[in-house]
Amino acid sequence: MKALYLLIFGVIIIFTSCNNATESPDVLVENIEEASLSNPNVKTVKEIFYNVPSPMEISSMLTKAEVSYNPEFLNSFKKVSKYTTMEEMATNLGIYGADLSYNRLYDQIQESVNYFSAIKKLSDNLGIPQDQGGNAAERLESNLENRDSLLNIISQTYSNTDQYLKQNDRGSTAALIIMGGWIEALYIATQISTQTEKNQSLLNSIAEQKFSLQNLIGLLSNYKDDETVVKYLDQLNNLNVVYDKVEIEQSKNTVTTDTLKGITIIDNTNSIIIDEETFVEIMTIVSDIRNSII
Amino acid sequence: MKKILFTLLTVSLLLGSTFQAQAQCKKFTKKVCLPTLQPYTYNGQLNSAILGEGDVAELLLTFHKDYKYRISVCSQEMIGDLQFKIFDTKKNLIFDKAKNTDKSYWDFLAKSTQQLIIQVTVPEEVPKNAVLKTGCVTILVGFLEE
Repeated sequence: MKALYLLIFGVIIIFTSCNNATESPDVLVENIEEASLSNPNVKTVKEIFYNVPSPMEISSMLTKAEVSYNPEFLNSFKKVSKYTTMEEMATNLGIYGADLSYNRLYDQIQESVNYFSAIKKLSDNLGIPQDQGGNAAERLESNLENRDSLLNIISQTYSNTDQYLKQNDRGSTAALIIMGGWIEALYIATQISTQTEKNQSLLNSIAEQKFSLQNLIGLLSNYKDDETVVKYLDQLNNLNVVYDKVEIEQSKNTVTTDTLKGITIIDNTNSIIIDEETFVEIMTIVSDIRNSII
Repeated sequence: MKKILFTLLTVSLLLGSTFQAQAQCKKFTKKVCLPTLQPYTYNGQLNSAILGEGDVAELLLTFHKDYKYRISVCSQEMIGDLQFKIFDTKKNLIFDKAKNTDKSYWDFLAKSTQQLIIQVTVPEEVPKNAVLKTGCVTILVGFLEE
């Protein structure tokens, strides 16, 4: 009889762990109250996902700012061997992803290859199988001249990494990668901003990261049982306190469809107020977080 | 003794089927959902879950100024035709699939940076006493540089 109970217990443990291993972990199952508040018409929200814009998207605000390439803002790919713990590898994988995106924007081919190699090394060390994150290296080498192909390869590498980690109950690691990428992109933007004449477009883009920060905090909050995540959550919450001083007033959206181009346009404007002091505070906190990672 | 064996069997079947469903969900996302994003670039973040009839899922994301986006919502056939709506953070309805398209995705251009909420609902179509159907639901986001 005792053996049977043990057998039942064993079966439950095995299946529960198997289930966890495949669960999509950026799902906030318990946060039904918050979800209901966000959409009062909905009776039950079973799953909430938080996404954060990829470094590929965030980096583009730099090209729109029309500033020249400066590798000094990046974390050197040569430091890759220094990162040995899970935390260091994950966060710096994100950081290198943003640096690679930055290099791609400025068509820095050799640097792109160097950063991609660093990413591959970290990815291997994190235990992500070759077929999930590694084969892209060969394709990268044969598509060096093509900026769009490079974008697709970066995107595929990150999606495979994200998928693999989530399938294997390592969602917190995936979240740390996303956080590293977001911090680095914002770091580069703030550094550029200090070294150029007042560039309102860039300043606005930095201010608008207020929205993404909220999503990032939501994403990381799914992993509050992970000490590393909690450490970064504290730092991001401090950053959020400063971002609260940034005022963004949004006009009402109008939605129109361009039938010729076959696309719908969501049109509105953001009225943004960010003072110098707040900008410096944001830059300092972002720099501190980033420097604690690299 | 029989009771225990029955419990063991039931628990095994329930948990086993969940495990199998999750594994199938990942395969389904990769084979069926990801290709629907073409020619948009996938943002790299996987949002998939097993949902049943009447369940609702939401995705919160910031969309950037002057980017084109594709939101793709797909599900396994057994749970029917999913509906999705897009709201801004002030709860204003931006898009309702039921009124606009029969496609599983929606493309738009964002003229300013803002947060949007994508709300997906699994239809309730079976009688109350019927067995609840569950299946894989995936929400993906792709972008295009202008």
